Amino acid sequence: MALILVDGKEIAVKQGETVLQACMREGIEIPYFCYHPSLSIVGQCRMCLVKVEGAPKLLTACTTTVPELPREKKLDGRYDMKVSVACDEAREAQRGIMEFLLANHPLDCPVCDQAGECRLQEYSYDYGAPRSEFVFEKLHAPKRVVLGPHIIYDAERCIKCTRCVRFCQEITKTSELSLVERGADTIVGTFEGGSLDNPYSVCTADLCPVGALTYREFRFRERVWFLQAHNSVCPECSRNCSVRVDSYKGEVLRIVPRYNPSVNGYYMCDHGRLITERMRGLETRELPSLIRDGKPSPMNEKDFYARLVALFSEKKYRPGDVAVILSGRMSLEEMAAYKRLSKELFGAVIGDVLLRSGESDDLLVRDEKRPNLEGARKLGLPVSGKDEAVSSLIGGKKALLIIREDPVGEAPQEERERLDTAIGSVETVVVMDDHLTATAARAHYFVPLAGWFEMEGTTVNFKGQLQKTTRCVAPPEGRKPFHDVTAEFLKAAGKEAPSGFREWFEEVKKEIPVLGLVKAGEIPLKGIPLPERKEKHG
Amino acid sequence: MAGELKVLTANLGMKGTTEIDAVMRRGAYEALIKAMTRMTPDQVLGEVKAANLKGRGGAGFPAGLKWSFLPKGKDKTRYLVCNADESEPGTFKDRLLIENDPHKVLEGIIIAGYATQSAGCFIYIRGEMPQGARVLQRAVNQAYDRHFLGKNILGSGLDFDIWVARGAGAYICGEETALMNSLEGKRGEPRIKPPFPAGYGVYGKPSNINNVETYANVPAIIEKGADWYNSIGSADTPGTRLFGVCGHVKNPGLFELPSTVTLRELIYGHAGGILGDRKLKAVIPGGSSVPVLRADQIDVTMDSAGLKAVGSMPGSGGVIVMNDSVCMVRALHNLMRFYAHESCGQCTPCREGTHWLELLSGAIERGEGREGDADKILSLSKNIMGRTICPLGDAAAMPAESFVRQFREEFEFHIREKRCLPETMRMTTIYSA
Amino acid sequence: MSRDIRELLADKEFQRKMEKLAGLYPEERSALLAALHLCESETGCCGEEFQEYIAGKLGIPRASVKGVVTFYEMFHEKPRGKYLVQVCRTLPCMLAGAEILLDHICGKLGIRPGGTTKDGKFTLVTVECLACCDRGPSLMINDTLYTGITPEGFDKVIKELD
Ligand SMILES: Cc1cc2nc3c(=O)[nH]c(=O)nc-3n(C[C@H](O)[C@H](O)[C@H](O)COP(=O)(O)O)c2cc1C
Ligand code: SF4
Ligand code: SF4
Ligand code: SF4
Ligand code: FES
Ligand code: FES
Repeated sequence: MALILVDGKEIAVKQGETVLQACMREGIEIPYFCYHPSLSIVGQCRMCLVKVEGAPKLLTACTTTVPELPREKKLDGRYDMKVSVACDEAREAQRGIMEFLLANHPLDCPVCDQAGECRLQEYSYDYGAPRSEFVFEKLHAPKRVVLGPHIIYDAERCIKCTRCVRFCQEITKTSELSLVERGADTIVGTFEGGSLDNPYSVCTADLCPVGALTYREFRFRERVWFLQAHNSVCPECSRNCSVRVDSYKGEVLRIVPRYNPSVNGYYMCDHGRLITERMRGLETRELPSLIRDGKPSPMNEKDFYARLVALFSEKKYRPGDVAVILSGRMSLEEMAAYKRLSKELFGAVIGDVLLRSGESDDLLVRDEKRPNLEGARKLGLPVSGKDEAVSSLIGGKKALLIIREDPVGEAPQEERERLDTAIGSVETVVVMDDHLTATAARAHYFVPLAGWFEMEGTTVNFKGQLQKTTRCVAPPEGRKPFHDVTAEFLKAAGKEAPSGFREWFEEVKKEIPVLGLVKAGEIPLKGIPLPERKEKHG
Repeated sequence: MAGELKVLTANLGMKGTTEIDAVMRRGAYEALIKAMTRMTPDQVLGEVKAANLKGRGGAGFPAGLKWSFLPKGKDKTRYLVCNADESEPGTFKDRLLIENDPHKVLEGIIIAGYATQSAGCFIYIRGEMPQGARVLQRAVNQAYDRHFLGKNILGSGLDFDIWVARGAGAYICGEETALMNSLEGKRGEPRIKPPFPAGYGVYGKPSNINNVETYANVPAIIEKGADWYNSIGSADTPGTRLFGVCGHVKNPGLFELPSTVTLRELIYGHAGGILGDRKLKAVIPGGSSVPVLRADQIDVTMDSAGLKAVGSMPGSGGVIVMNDSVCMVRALHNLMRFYAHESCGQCTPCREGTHWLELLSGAIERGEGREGDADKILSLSKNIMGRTICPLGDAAAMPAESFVRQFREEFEFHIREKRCLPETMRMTTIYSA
Repeated sequence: MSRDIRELLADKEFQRKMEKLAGLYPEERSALLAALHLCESETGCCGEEFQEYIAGKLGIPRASVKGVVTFYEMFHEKPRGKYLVQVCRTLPCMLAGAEILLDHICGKLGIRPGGTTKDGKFTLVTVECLACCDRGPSLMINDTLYTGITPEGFDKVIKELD
């Protein structure tokens, strides 16, 4: 541990840590472009130049480590290094770099997607020269280059920080990008057009400190300062990447990774981010409905729930008569609510949470394709069922309840018919989901639920990290989280029921005692690590 | 005027000196045999250190000291690199050594390999010197045949190989770490330092890099001793140096001299005086990257101390002479175009700054200069100087700054009058003189 | 010179040379520049087909190979003329008369630097200091160096080509 003095402030520097890292940790601003904590250090942008006492020239803070001096050599008898970020010399150098970076920069902020979150724009206010003295024609370079299916490159805006190049070399290890040409003509290139096509390609746009790399699906959609940001998690696999969801006028426009060292680090996969595109086509405005010939006919909510309750109390289904398919897409609160409901309706907790798995990689993507399977396990719900198992679960049952799963829609073609017949032979089929799925079209009753970004809830990822998602956009009328649907059922049956996320979270806490004193409103952004599950034997 | 002292160039001008038999008859490889059979590696290192052999590639770092930075120990693979990328404008000494006396260079390298117990040496030769590469490879093959290379050389226990690798047209690959990247089949982008090559060099292995001429000095040091070496030349640069004089002189060429020679002697004595019998106007004394001198600053010795006194440095030993027919704005523009073209482009001040300097000097040259442009050159140079990853930025900034500082009136005239000084309207060339 | 790349890649002799190159240095990827030189001298360029081939052969990402080809002046992605006329234009040669020589060459060949004659015979480029500044103006035609060259001297040289 070394001690440095930065413009009068004492900072302890860990072994191997750079001056920039130490200052960032302590909230002292040093401007920088090329440094990124997850990438190798290249010292290329030269923006982080600082004055180090005794050094003949300015040094880049991002490359400068602090060797511990022997006691008698310490500066002022105390310090291993004295640094100034704010002295005239350093400020002048920072201004000089800005002048250079802006010399050939198009300054087309009004039409640039990055405007509002551009480091170059930001720094030009804070560190820039009052006016540019570059009176020559700016260098022309390719614009709107399709680097990959989701990434567009504008070489004129590029400041050659090589973050994108290093990301593809060091993180995804796919190396689709390289600097090409040299000198002032240097730009970023691929071997052939469009080949930046790895499962994390859009992270390059997140990393790009300027508007050189843009995310194709978001280009020109909305100026960033109009967006509302919400914290959520990605529901597409059991990693549960922490994300920030940007919405505008009730629509989710963009999902970007949110730094969380215990879950996903700085990144997320493209598939998770592209939920926005997959959501766009879905019809999600259904009301509670009876289904006739596959077509929903909406009903008044109150009557609908009364009718369902009446149905179940009339038929008096016993646990053995009923198949319930649950989903790892349900939040912990929804799962807790289901347990209450099941006891109420069938006198016991029955049902299976479907295991859905797929490809994984060694970066982030997990094989379990549901966000909360671990949560289900924590609540003691059985997680089972390979894809083929669904029809066997249904076989011979009188009632079928499916929550947030679409076995028909997801079944391979050859399996479909079997499923269809199985479902067709069940007396009562109730499907609850956030849109009218292929399975729902075969149901008798369809209960619309709030979608993932339309409700609050908690989930537990594969490592046991509990995180909270927030309501990023309001659900359309008539759609609720499943725990609120449960409350409707219970109320219609004349029972007391918790209401809303907060109260149901209290229910969850009863089952996961370590959550102890945690309040629903106080779950930290990074989440809470839960202890490992003790496997129950026997 | 001190006469030439031919140590490094003793074989130049003779016939057949690229053949091992011919040069061995003239004493080649005797120093190697002496070192390997009668001295320990540490003794060899000690001798080179004591000789205070200064690097000839431009920076003048003591070679023996640099060798001693290599970590020792049998478990470590160490590499040597011979920098034969000679591309500094005005410099043409390494080409002559390689093309005419390759074995002297090889001998120096193998002795260095013995002193540092290295596994081998990469000779990185400029792509534009295919002839030199062929000569070198042939010489290397001959050295293998004589068992001066290969396994257990001369029974010393040293296994040592030499690989010849060609560059492909990039001045920046003369910079030591860019060169190493290039050797690894990468873009010639300099690496940030630290780590230095002595710890992390070719393939990440400890490496030592020296210039061709530096290695070529080693055999004589071993043969005749450090005392002899120190008796020649100046205190800060002992031994002889290869000075190349080009530009507006009557007798351009390469001269081997102790650094105690003055710049005046070099220009007016050895190089025969000014071409076209005109007045001397400016000299760049050590390759295009060092600060330019005016005609009244040439009564200095060609060592570090002498040139430092007038604000310049010995650099690579290439002396570029300009008579009074040369427009300094045009000369600067030529150089700025060179540096902009050769900037690797990875760091901001150099990539953008050299480009800007090229445009600005070009605008002044064309008569499109604006008031304040001379100061702008100074401020741009200042914003580059000392703020880049590698010294190429400085190499561009130093001429830019010094041209304006030394010839301010001419720049101002250009900006004001939008034309060249009258006497520079027709520049002397070899065709006109 | 100017062989078809496909034919070259199928050539046993060439494959043998590539094998040898790959084994020449302590690590394979060090052979990249040498391999590109070879392709350049055989076919007059290092196009994408060869880049792809050599990337696979030496285990280097294709984008990195492209980065290398575009970095070095001596490699060309597009085919150039049979004779690459490389005129040094750096300060010492300029002092010797390089600009006059270059003007003459442009006139003689009817092309600007960067251009190729219609018959595909000559491509003219300017290059930086060739390290023979005492004998300027210097130029290279393919691998051959010419120094102290006069306009008339140049005319003679190109007449004697072929
Ligand atoms: C831009 C640049 C170009 C250089 N070119 C050469 C060169 O062509 N030959 C050379 O020997 N050194 C060159 N150098 C210096 C080398 O980096 C290095 O200092 C030198 O090879 C060390 O050898 P020495 O200690 O024997 O001089 C260059 C340095 C820079 C910054
Ligand atoms: S595209 Fe963006 S991230 Fe990539 S080098 Fe350019 S500025 Fe940096
Ligand atoms: S890795 Fe999983 S959780 Fe993360 S973004 Fe991708 S699908 Fe979503
Ligand atoms: S100073 Fe110039 S040549 Fe050196 S690393 Fe920076 S851009 Fe490249
Ligand atoms: S952040 Fe330090 S040089 Fe770019
Ligand atoms: S400047 Fe042309 S060879 Fe040096």
